[in-house]
Amino acid sequence: MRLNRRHLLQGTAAATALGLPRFARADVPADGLKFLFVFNNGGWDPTRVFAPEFRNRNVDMELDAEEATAGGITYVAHADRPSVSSFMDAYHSELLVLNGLQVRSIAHEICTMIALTGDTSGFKPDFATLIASSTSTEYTLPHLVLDGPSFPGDRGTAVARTGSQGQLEALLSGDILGWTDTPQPELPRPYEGTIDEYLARRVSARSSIGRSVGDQTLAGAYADAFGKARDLKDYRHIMDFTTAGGSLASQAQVAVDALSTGLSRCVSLGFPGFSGNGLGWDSHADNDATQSPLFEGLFAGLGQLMQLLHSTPGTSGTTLAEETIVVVQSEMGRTPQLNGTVGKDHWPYTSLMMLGPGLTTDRVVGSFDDSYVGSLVDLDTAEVTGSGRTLSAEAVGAALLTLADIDPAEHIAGADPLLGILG
Amino acid sequence: MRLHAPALWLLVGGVTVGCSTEPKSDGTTGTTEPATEPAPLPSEDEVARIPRMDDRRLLTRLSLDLRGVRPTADELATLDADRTALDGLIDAYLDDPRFEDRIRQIYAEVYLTRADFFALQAVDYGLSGEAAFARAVGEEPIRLVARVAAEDRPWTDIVTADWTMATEQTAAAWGMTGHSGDGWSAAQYTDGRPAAGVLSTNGMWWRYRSTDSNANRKRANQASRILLCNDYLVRPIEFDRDVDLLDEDAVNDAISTNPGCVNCHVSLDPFAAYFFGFWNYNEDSWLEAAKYHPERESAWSQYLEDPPAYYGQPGNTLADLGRQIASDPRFPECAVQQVYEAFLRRDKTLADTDALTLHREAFLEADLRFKGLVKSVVSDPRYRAGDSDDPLVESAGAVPLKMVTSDQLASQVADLTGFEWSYFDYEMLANDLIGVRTLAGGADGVSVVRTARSPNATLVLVQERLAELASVHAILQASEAGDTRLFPLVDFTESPETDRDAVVAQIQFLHASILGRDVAADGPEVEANLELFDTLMAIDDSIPAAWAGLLMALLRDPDFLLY
Repeated sequence: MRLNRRHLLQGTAAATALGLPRFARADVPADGLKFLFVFNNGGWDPTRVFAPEFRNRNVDMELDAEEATAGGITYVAHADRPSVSSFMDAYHSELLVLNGLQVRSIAHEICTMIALTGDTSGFKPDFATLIASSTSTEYTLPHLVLDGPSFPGDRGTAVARTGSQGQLEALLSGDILGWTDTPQPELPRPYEGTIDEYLARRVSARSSIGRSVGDQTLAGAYADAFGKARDLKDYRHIMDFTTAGGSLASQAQVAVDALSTGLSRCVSLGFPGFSGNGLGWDSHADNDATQSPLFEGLFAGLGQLMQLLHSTPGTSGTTLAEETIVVVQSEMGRTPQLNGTVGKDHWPYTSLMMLGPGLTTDRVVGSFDDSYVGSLVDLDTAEVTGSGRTLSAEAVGAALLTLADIDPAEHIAGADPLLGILG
Repeated sequence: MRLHAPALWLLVGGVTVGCSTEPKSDGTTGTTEPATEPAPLPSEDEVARIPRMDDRRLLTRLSLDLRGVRPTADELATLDADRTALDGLIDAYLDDPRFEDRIRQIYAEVYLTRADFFALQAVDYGLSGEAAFARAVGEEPIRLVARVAAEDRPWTDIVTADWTMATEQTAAAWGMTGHSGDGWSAAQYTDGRPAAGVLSTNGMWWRYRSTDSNANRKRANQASRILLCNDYLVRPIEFDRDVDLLDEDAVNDAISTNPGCVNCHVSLDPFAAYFFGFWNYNEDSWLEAAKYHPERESAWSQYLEDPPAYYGQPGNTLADLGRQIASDPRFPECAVQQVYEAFLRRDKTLADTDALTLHREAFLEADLRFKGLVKSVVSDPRYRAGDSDDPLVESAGAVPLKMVTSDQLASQVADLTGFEWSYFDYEMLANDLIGVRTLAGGADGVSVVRTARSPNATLVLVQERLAELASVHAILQASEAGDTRLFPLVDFTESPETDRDAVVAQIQFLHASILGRDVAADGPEVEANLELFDTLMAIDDSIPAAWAGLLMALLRDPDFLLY
């Protein structure tokens, strides 16, 4: 039998004896934790916020930027980015910054897969999906993807995308019936409920006739999806999906609604918007002209997100903020030095932020060395040490799974969790 | 030498391969599968005893897989009357023009080139029709593959052909000759590019671009993944922390001497060296990106240490590479794996080893003609397995039920009802800009790289809305335009009260056409449908609308997605 976190934490004494961390706020059970993933496509430049490498001669820092501190967080401040400082001042006590995170690649697509799944195939479920599917029967849309990449692997039933142009809302409302080059007259609206009732009986009957495991599984999945689709039509009366693919602030509202209404356990958001041909953070030229406003916009949006989490009642905690882990990441970092077009190219080490319960917060974990390579870290303490291990996307993903009471060994072979960040 | 840019040209699609000096504590890596208890593998003799699905279901599966549409009522009747007619029907399906579409759809999931966006657009070439242009770019290589398959040309043509597939847009944008002038047709580039099938297409290399530091390694890996089923990226990857990434010389040295790096780069880098005719100094230049550049074939020497070669066999151009791949035994083996996985809608496992060997032999015996391979795979007992509680079904990896793709959903609805869902010329189930491809379980190749194999809520919603649009369209076509393909037995004046026999016969026809079912006139299915019809009539007192509602219910049936 493989041990998971629940087994390990059955007794405080046992946990203490094993040197394992305990949740800082034990009133939220692991399976009650919710997760928001904010993905920043294109590769952000950690040296503009997370990595104050002012004393590293191999790193080109930004003119007029300066080192600043908020609680235990040391970061890069700049007059053009007041939202960064505001955010740090307001939320440093809930914030954990990871520096020197290795993503093993400098290709957007591969880095994205590694950052989200710990694997390069794209065929394994991402961490959000793994967490969401572990309790999928409790949620209508266990993993809701508002924007950005998702890798459902073999757990597609747990994942639903909203579309970047309000497609989900249009499907639910029926407005999508007008999205056609060959418009059709609409059927009387009462038909919908009548046909739904007929199909509910038919779907239920179909799901019970299979004799093989394969038939039962797939027909059962259809019945589950059918029921959830009906539930979704009800959800649209209590939450608004129309802005699901919009700005980070509008995505934040949909995400918080999805968590607070129990629609979803995990929600993925994108900034500045993964859909379409936007290059996002990919600043091969004019690095600071690209990165600086994006960081300002990101932290302004994150500030709104955190305000919403703090002002929205939770389902087991006082507020959603007490039961929600927010993960903010980008698929890669950028080179330490500017190139000939004052841009920065791809770099396989980056930074990541997390906020929420169950984490050791007000803290920066990891660092960059003189060559701007991630330092080795003791995974159990999260302290930098020459005898430590690479701070990898897999280790972070494994820690998130552990936090959600999922045995990471069942999903990420050989990747030991970064237990030192769990509080 | 120190650079501003990182010395990260040891990249396959961007990943630094090999270079492993930091093993995991348990000796494993982060990319291997968790250990599981090996299950006893059934022999092929045992597999042959897997219960077969009934003829109608099998014909439905074959028709959807080979043509993307349901079998006609006539075809079902033919099989009902003569079970031996199945082989003839399969042959007919393989010769059906829609077989080419299915192969294109199947290989879209392998090539992942059907992106919504490319860096260059129609407007860059003075053309209009962005949706069609993006489609033409992304489908170029898979159309080539599909033509080779449909015309039963030697499979090696996909890496040796001196033609490609183009629309009038791409033919004009890229200066091709030989295009028919209307829609998709074969055409030839005129820029001196080598004859190498998909390896010589703009569509492939617009989708998979390179950077200076990557030096075409990404392209080489994609060619290897797609054509040889050898993806360098699934190998264990670790960085050697002793290599200074800021020092180009140090990294180059590591590639050449570090055993972990050499393991992949010794074959990958010479592979990558073949692709420099597609090297663009300005990737966003419409002029440069349109052309192959023979004069740049030797530019590998500026970026790589090794000249073009294929696993030790030297070469010069992509034509050499195409021939080398064509003669590699992994090339047909990969095709077998891809077809097997596509038709079973699951990944191969160790238990499939014997089956894959049998299908490979069939492919070889067919002189690498694709239809021979397909006939072998669709004859596999795993493919033909019925719904049975026989443990063999599970242990052999048989697939008694699977789900249609978003492409198949669209094509079967279009065939049955005549309704093709597009909006501003974008196919709604084939894009995500304004469409619902990924919500319907499709893959865009970027954010979602694999089509869904099981349903979710958004797919059910897409099925519902598509069914509504298509049902109304079908009724209008039947009642106003004379297209009675789905309604040959009523003229929308009959109700169960006025002509029950006609209504029942029409319901039976719909079941046969839409779900492949032979339902009894007094059976529960017909009774349930009559009850639904009456309920809908009570709402609106409209016979055509009631038929539309009934048709919508059948198009929303779970067995319209599961087959």
